[in-house]
Amino acid sequence: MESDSNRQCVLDFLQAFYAGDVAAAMACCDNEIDTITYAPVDLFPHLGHKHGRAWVAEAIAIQQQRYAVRKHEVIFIAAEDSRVAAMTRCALTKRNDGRVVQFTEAEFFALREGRITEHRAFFDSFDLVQQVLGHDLADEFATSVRGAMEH
Amino acid sequence: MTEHSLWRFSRAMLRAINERQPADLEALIDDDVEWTVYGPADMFTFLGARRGKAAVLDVCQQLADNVRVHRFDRESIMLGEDSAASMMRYSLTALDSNRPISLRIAQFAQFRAGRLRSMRVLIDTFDLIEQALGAPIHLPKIA
Repeated sequence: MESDSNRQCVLDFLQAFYAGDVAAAMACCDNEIDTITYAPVDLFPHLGHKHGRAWVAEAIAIQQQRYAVRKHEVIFIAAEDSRVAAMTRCALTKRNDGRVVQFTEAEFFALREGRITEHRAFFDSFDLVQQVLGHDLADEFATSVRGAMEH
Repeated sequence: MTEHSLWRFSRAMLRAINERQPADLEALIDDDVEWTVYGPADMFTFLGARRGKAAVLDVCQQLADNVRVHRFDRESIMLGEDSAASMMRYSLTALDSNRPISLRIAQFAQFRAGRLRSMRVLIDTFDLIEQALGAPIHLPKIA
């Protein structure tokens, strides 16, 4: 079934990505893959909107440069025809201070002929920014945000 | 063919928020539901984790108190027998400030006997906060 093979392709991609196996991760992707990870690109230059398979190698290289250990666990995966969605729990150990940043990521994939052509990803980006910077930003903005939002 | 639980739940959720009519929603939530919208709950009271129907109805009430949904588009949906994963784009208005907010949201739902038993939602929260503030948050560039 198409959805079963696509599901396996996404699992293989995630496994290769976090293992740092560039060739295997790229092999899961179409040459013209279009990817958007919704996150502030000032802090995460390998995220945002990218086009082409070279993004895979770039993203792995940047993460390896910043993080000594990268682990992932797929906690939910669903596949239907040419589309796959996964929720992944990630833990990355920072090289500069040894702290572990943890986040849950939602990823949506579209595949064609067994390869990933489209990738969209979300996570609690404000929390990850705080973890990466190593300090709390919530106090700085909480009053302003509450004033803007709350009834 | 029976309608998927996601569609009933989505309609009821929209009604609970925009029309402040939670009765349909209440009937579609499992008593032991687990509900998590990942994000800073100290900034937005409707974010964070909840357990149980009453807590989830309460958070939906908080949503109704704070935002109005103008439009939503389903950009990607995968339906399983008792589960659904969807990527949605929402256009909202913050009620007090009348500020428009545009969000993409990832939703992972699981149902039991037609009732919601687990919902996990992920949002680009950094973008949400910038939109709520109405100004960018300046971050250091990291090469």
